[in-house]
Amino acid sequence: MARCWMVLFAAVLVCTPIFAGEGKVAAAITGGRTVFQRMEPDAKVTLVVTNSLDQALRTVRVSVTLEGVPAPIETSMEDIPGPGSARVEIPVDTGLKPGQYAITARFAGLADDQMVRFETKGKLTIVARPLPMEFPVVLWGSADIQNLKEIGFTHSHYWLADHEPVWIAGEPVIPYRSGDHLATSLAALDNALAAGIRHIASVRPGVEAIPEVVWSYTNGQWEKHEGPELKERRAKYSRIDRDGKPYDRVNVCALFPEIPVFSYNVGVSIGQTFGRHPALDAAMINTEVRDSSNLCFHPHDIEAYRAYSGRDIPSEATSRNGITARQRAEIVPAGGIIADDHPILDYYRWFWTVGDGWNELHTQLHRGFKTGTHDKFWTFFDPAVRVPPIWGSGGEVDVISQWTYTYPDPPKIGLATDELFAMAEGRPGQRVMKMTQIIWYRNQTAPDLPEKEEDRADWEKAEPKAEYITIAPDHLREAFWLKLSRPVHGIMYHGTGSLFGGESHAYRPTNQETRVVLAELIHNVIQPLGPTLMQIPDAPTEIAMLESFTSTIFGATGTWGWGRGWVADMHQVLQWARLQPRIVYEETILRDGLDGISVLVMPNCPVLTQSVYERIAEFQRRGGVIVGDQHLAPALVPDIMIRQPRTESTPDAHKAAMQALAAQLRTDLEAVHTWQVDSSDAEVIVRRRQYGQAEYLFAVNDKRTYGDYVGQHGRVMEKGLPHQATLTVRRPGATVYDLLEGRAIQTQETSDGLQWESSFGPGDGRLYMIVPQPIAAVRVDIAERPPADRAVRVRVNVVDPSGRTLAAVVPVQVEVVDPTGATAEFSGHYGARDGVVDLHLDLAANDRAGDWAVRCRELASGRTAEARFRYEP
Amino acid sequence: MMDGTKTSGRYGGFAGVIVVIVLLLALGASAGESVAERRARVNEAAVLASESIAVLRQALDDENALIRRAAIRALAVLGDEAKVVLVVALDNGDPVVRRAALMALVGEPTPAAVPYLAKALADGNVTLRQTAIELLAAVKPPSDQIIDLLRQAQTDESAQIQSAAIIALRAQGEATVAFHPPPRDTVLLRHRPDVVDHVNRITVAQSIPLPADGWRFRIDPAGEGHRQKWSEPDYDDAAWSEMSIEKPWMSEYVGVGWYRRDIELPEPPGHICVELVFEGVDESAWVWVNGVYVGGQDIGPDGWNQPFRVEVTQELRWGAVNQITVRVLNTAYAGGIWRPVRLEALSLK
Repeated sequence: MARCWMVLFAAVLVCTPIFAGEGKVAAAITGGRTVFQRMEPDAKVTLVVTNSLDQALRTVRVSVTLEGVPAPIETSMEDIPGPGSARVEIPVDTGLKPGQYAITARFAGLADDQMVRFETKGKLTIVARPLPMEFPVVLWGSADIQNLKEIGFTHSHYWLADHEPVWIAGEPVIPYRSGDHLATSLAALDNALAAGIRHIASVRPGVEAIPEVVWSYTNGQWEKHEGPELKERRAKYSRIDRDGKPYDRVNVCALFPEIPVFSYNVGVSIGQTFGRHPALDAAMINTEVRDSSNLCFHPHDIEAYRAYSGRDIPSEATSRNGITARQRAEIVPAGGIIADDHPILDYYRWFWTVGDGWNELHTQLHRGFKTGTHDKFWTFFDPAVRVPPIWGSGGEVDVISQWTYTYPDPPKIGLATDELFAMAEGRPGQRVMKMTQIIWYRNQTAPDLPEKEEDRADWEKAEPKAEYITIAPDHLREAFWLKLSRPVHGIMYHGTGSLFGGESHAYRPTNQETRVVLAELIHNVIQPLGPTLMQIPDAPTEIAMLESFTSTIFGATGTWGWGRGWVADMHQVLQWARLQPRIVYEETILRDGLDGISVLVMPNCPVLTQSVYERIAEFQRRGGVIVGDQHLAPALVPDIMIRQPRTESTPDAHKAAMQALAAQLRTDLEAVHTWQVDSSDAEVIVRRRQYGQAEYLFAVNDKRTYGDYVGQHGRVMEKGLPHQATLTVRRPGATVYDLLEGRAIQTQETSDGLQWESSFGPGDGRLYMIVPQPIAAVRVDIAERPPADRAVRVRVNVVDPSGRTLAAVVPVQVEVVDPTGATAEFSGHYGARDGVVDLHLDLAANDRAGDWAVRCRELASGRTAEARFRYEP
Repeated sequence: MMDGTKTSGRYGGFAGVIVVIVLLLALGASAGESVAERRARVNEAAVLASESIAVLRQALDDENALIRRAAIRALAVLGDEAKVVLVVALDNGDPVVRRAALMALVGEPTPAAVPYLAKALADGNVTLRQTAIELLAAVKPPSDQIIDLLRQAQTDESAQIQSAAIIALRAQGEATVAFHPPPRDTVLLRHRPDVVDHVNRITVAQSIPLPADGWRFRIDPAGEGHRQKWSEPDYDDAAWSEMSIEKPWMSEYVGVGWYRRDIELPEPPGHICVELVFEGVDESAWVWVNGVYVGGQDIGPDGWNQPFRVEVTQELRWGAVNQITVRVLNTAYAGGIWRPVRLEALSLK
């Protein structure tokens, strides 16, 4: 907490007051904002006048001038008592061009018939509006601005989790913070806005409803409060087991009616206080709370289930995980099929969607925020798939995310990401982001510090006590590409200490290269291509993998978002078989059927409901292929059997065993499946996304070995190796562009498509755009307008040889250049959807007169174009 | 026969014969026809009921696995009508076909199914054997024959089968790998009648962590260690491998493993009793101190992360070297003494 506070102070923008009136009257620009986004509505700067005279200051006139703006703003103030103070809010013209402006406020008033004049000076900043489709790169945590910018982060956390006043009030508290605390918070947000960083409010009312301690902010200090009343509250609102005892892992019982009300009130309080600030872009809601959620047996919990189902909670329900495999053997028929409304299943289905209360709690907080936040504001919950596979995790939040450790195999990232998409299927419109942990648990990757100094790696000598070391750079790179190969709407990283260093003794930066690699990836891939990637949906796939809620609850081991176990292994097998698996839940099958799917992979599915079984059996009768394992519900006969092997003791042996299964599966599927894209070996994972007729092929190098960072411990193959592979696509006659190199590549025709050789660095990824027609040109058109008109309409077209705009999303870079040669607002990277980018420039009254240029470079083939217009205000 | 969607015949009499002939021709005519198309024909045969059995029987020997499996699926749906073919299919070369035939013949397991299951338990395919164990375990009540079959399976060459057999036997309330720990009549201090309502009086006079390193370890797949007295203080364990505790044992070994270590203790502190505290053993444990069985924990797979303690006041020798032996049974994933172990000398306030 102390460290957070230091960050806040560092961000305070102080304007120096100019004293006048014999030194007894002063003014300052303080208590409000000084940084604004261009065209931001209702922008105001706050001036505070402090009158230390014995008499009132009357008929105060205020004249405010901005550097470079000829007309001052004139206003007046009410009488200021003496001694006393008063404030006045001055409107800010955010139509001015981006830049920093000196502001001078001059005051004149009467004190005892004597004219008193005084003034204050400061600076206001107008920042450019963000470009559309900016790809969020989130630091899940906080760091100083310089570090954030160096890497290319767009967002970082901002701590707003001091909710106790809202609990005490029992209603929204607006403003959420007051006095210096509010001013400090606004200054911190301003500071971020000026730097081009957006903040994410970190709030956990579901946790702070039952705090062990409470912190309050008084006179610039945080004060800690403990006491028996907090213990009583904690005991009252915590979950209890069947015997009425609290669980060791404390978690709020969200079915107490006051808890969702509190959540909503917190959202309203923060949303209506800070939610219009452009730098507050999002809220992270109740992170990491469901791991400790457990079955609860308050009278209201029992009654809630009875009201829902008409039944009592079944006696077998004692664990959040469901029943054991041993219990399953006693309960489930030999065929593995149970009734849709089986009492045990019914209870757990209720518990994990409604009964543990968290989804509704998130929803209430989300709704509270949305009462006051700007249109682009998004809420998110993570880790959203640390639950059994059933829809609803996160409630109505805009975004769900999940963090994943890459060891031992980075393709695990793909599993968690695909699970998020399966979860989001339950709430159309919900977006997915994905986090990679910068930290690695030392005890799982490099556990034993060699006794002899000479046997230690350099980082082990430097940081012998580090507990959370830095992810290996090649893992980071590979995980990055595996995430991007899915239609995520943002990526996140956690582990400030392991990336940048700092005071923590546990989180240590043990690999300096990781930071360099991350910055390269963000600057070289995300920034130019991110707006394009934001607009490309996933490609349809014929391969689905079922994660069965019913089986999970009836004693089969699911992933629970951890990426471990056989289900996770099978997903990696599918990736290594270059099959592009889509994860489906039972709900997906029941709602949407299995149309479009030709192969359904069913790892660890010993129990299914009658309805799901019937859908799958019908799918199979219609020609669908089931890939099962030895655990598959015996009522189904798999077409292909992939037996779960024993886990090998070393990562290389395990990977080899899984890749052998992948090879076997490819052979088994050859007669019934056609690969739309493929690579020549399992070490290059391929995946495609698709927009219209344009396909986007991601190819990721997973060839790895043991290195000398942690590999010597034998736990992780962390060192990527260069590799080469032949890539194939079933797109005869298409043109293939390398979007990283910005050029069309040479391909060879095959019997049914194209192929080409591709080289990879360690952990490297490649991205190709495959279009039926080549790019012939890029054009920039500017609509006719009077030279004085500030509204300038610009259209960028990427066209094929026939002159039609390309039916694709094409990355383009646009530069708007003013008459001095300076880059203006709206310069940056875009994704030309259907080959088109439309820009609406709103030139400012203080923009330079003269000839302006709009230059464009499309990044697929490197073609450029330029157009000019004249501005004479 | 097991439950399934049973479709009555759509084509009867002469029409059925014609369709069968067409299907036979189609199935035989592989040239120019894809596997998917031939498989579709087998799926169609499933709705023909008894008229299609000959076709499906032929398809069971198709060179393509997808065709064979579509056929056995169809036969399983036909049920009793196809019983003869299903019995024959128990010897099919395709283990998926054999397993599906077994499931179709057994249905909800009854004593009548035991001959099929005994046959499957001798199958060369591990999945068949595992299925057989699971079905044997579901037969109620378990007969002596079933228990014998499960006991035999404990020594199967596959660790997964051993595991399945152990789980099945435990579910039947049977001792596994023929181990019968002697009863213990000691009581933990906190459970003593004079203390149970005053546990807050218990204080730890001295806590002695057992070293994580320096243990000897040996797996015991056949469950013979106790007969060979691996818990005796002077048993020669020099040939055993070195092992550390506070982490799972190697890979995902399923079965029994033994840990041994000598512990030198200081002079006795002031105490009234001593308990050996295990923070976590995955998943069952039996403990000996200086050759005397002192207790353990055996609550099945759920015990993997449950701490437990055993009373060792009488068996422990202060100021001397003590021999500790722990027998661990694991039935799934990795196992072993994966969390710390300590001695606690306790007294009362």
